[in-house]
Amino acid sequence: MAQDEDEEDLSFNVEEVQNIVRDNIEFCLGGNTYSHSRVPQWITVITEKTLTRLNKLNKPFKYIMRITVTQKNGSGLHTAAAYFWDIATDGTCTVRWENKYMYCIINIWALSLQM
Amino acid sequence: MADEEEVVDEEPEVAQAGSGDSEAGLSPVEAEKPLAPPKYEVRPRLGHKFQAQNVKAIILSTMKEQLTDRQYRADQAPRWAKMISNTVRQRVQDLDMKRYKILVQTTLLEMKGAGFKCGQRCIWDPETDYYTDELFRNDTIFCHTVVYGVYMY
Repeated sequence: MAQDEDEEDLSFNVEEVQNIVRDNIEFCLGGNTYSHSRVPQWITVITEKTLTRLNKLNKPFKYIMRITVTQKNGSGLHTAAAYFWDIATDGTCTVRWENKYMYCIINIWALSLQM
Repeated sequence: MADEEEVVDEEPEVAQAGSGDSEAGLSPVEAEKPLAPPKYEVRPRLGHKFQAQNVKAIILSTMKEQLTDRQYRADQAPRWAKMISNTVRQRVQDLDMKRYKILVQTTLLEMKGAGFKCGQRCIWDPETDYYTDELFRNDTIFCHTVVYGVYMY
């Protein structure tokens, strides 16, 4: 029982993180239109809020968070990623969000601190 | 008198016993081997750090190889993105930087006038962990690749 709890503490919980991220995006981008000058501010707010909450989870991970905000214009966007890591302990989480005016893609990578 | 002599005699004995003890205390230290250096490295050694300039060169050459003289095509772009990230990751692995975990992300955009902003934040150890990124542009394609190197203690 204690071991199960330990394993939960040590693994990367994708759903929990996705919920945290979605809340923050809704709060920040909500029904706004794309504005090139305000986007950096939104990005800062979202990343700092999300990372603070991730840190509070108190898990032994290093986090990398990347946000991409694109205006809806009919243009195509493709993303690919490749990793060289420990698949048993490290994890990734991607959240895609959109409203009428823009797309937002958030990637979070969690790299574990222990073997 | 006799007592004093005895006392005098005893003192040197005590002193000798004391020094004998201290000699016994000293000799094990001298006989011990010097401590071996710790094998658990918390920081990469000089020469084993993340080679940011080399990685930057790898990213740029890979993107140029794959994308020069190509026009954006919606059906092929996903394949190009995957190929670029896999190739970059393979070449960075060949640099053989010990104890580093590598993450590569490639983003391919069609140049149609849409606004695009990206940002990143990390919770990591700034003395051991690094990132490099590079852009590639032509008439219809905009490609951005970022490589993260995270040290594993």
